[in-house]
Amino acid sequence: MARSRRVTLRCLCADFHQDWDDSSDEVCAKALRGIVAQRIDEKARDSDVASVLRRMRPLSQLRHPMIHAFDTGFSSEDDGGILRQSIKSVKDRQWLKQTYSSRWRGAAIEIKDTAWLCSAGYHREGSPEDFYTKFASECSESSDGFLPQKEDAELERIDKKIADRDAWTAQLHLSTLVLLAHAMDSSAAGPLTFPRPNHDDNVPVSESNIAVRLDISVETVDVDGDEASEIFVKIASEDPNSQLNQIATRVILAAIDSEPQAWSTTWISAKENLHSVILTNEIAHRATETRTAGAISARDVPGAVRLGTVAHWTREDGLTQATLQGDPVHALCGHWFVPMHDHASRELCQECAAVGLPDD
Amino acid sequence: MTIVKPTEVSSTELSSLESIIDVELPSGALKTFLTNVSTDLRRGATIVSAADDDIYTPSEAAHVLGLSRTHLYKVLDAGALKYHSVGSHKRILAGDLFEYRNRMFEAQRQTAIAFSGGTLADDLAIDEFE
Repeated sequence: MARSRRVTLRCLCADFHQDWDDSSDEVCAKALRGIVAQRIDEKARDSDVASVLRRMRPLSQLRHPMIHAFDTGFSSEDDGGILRQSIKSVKDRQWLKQTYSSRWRGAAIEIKDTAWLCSAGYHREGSPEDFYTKFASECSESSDGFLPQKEDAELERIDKKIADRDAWTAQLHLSTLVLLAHAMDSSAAGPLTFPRPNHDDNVPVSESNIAVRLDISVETVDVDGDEASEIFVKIASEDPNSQLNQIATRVILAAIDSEPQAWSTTWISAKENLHSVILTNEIAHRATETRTAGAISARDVPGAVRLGTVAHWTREDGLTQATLQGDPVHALCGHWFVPMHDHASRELCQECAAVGLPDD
Repeated sequence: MTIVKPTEVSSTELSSLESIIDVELPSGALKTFLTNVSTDLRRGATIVSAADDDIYTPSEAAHVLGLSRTHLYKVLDAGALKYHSVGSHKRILAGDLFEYRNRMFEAQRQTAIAFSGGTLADDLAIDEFE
């Protein structure tokens, strides 16, 4: 597996004054440093940092040629066959030289499985402003100040949580389709239990650490005189009001059918809902294909939902307020949805049209 | 349970009803109820009214809730919707059915929120674990 590559926030924000291929990356880096500082001071949440990270590339892929040279230079699993030069003028630890063209020079260090770019500047042969000269001078007593600092550790911690969450949603998506394939074979499958995203794999999953429980069955039903197969998905959650439960519901249902209107939802208990949808050939094919491959298809994005495909009519007052606040409204056709899109550009729901509009 | 289709009610009847509502009924639950009845009939909706001890079969209940019979039976078997048995047949009281429908609407609202949550929900979720 490739080594992890990271750039310290100090280096990113203080050392790269020029030569950004895209200046928005520089703006994002500074915004990120700011929000991480607020998080350390407990004036922001992890989610605030995550939403800034979402709007930017990973740090080692920000668009500066020196960062790109570092990212590709350390992209192999180890340094087998690669000769790296040390910065000999700094004695207290081994700093590795990083270069880009004739212009940029930098100092990198390897800590455990991660390569860090910690400082960078212009090469100016023979000048006291030359990067290596300045770096050695600033490290004359100690190079500790260039190591990853608390802000970098904080960012790593949050990056790991994001990775844990993404791995959790991918696992939910994959397991849902595999479980569905089993249910298609033997009419019922489950329960599958999922612990929380940060679950330690060395700890057995038990009643006390289950976040989501999933049961799937497939049964023949009568739809207006014709036979069809209906998929029943029971989702039980330790905390139905949590964001994790909302994500689990979205990922599990969207894995099967990403069109919200296709689903019928019923209440079973305070912690359980039962959802159903018609089993189509497309869904059946995707489930068996995923089970055979044992991996998510490249076409599938866990949690991706097709929202706003049609425009609905609703009798609800306060539609504007619902749109602003993200509250669901009840369409004439019976579907509950959160209004958000420009309805004028969407085709009208046929069932809403059949119910009709009130006379003025 | 009573069902009244808009085709069964003439415009004259509706006008008479509305006149009685306006002139003779004091404000209150009954006035509101009958006003809704006339409004719904005018816009072409069928009126379905039930006393809370009216009885629904599972098929009728499934139709009211917009579910397949199979789905409705799963809800009954889970004990989420009350029913009583008449011989081998299950029967549901209207009061229980419409109370359950409100719970179902709440579950559907929550599912709509889940579907629309997107990246905001994804980001907020990381505050929920260490």
